[in-house]
Amino acid sequence: MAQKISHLPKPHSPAPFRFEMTYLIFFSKNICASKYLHLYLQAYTCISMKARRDVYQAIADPNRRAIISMIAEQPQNVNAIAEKFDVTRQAISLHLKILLDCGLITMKQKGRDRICEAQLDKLSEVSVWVDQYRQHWENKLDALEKYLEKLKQERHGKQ
Amino acid sequence: MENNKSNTHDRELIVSRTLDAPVDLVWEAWSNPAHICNWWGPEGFTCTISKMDLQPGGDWLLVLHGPDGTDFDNVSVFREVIPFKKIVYEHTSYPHILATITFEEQGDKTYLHWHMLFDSNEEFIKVVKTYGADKGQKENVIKLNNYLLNLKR
Repeated sequence: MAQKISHLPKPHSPAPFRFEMTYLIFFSKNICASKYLHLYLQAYTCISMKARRDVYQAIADPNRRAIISMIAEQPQNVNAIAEKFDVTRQAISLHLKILLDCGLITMKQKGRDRICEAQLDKLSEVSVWVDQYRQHWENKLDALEKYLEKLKQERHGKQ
Repeated sequence: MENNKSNTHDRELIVSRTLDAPVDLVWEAWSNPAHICNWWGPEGFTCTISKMDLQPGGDWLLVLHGPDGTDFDNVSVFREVIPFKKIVYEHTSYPHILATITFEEQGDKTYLHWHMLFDSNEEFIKVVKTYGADKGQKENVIKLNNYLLNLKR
């Protein structure tokens, strides 16, 4: 039964038509498909969520930044994270969901615990943007340097 | 909960350089409107300064003329001016920045330290991102980023 899932095309957005076709074919073949359809739908939603969310959105909120820096030191379980914040459990769950969707954290089930681990590679995306902006200011200094050189030569020439 | 090493580290940008010119010349290039436009604008831009009242509370009106004819108004107010040592100005048009420039004499050279403080990390990221998008370099940034990620692995 589980193998049947692999017959589904990999979900990629946007493909509602393809999805419906697959659903019809699959469903007609297997009456139990609805069980897996749910999984398929989940994967589909997840991927389209990822497209909508980006790393900037993830770090836009101070609580989410705090969560990242907390689990960057060492992976933590969801309960431990929730305990350290002065907001509701639901709010923390939502923050974690957003971080998860943005690919900044991963969650692993370990017995009863759900362990969150930071995926810091994603953050370099921001530092690349910052570096680019910094270059804008470095260029200003380059221009100032050049101009000072010109001024020095002009004044030197006059003497 | 926030990182408390410095409460501004996530909303500031610092550039610095040791310039091969004495401090009085660097100060002149910085403080005299006749000089600033010779180096202030990005490549391809020209600039006009209609007012530069270099004293605390004094206005500074600078317009950048883009290569496509678009004008960008830069309105600032000087907050602190210590000749040959320090200039603090507040960029009051978008984006809001508090800039502190310090001039440090090092013999025939001058160490220039330029600190820009944004209102919040959100604002800083927004500016940084908008800048990249304006430059039409979003794709390049993503490509570069992917490249960097691959290098790390």
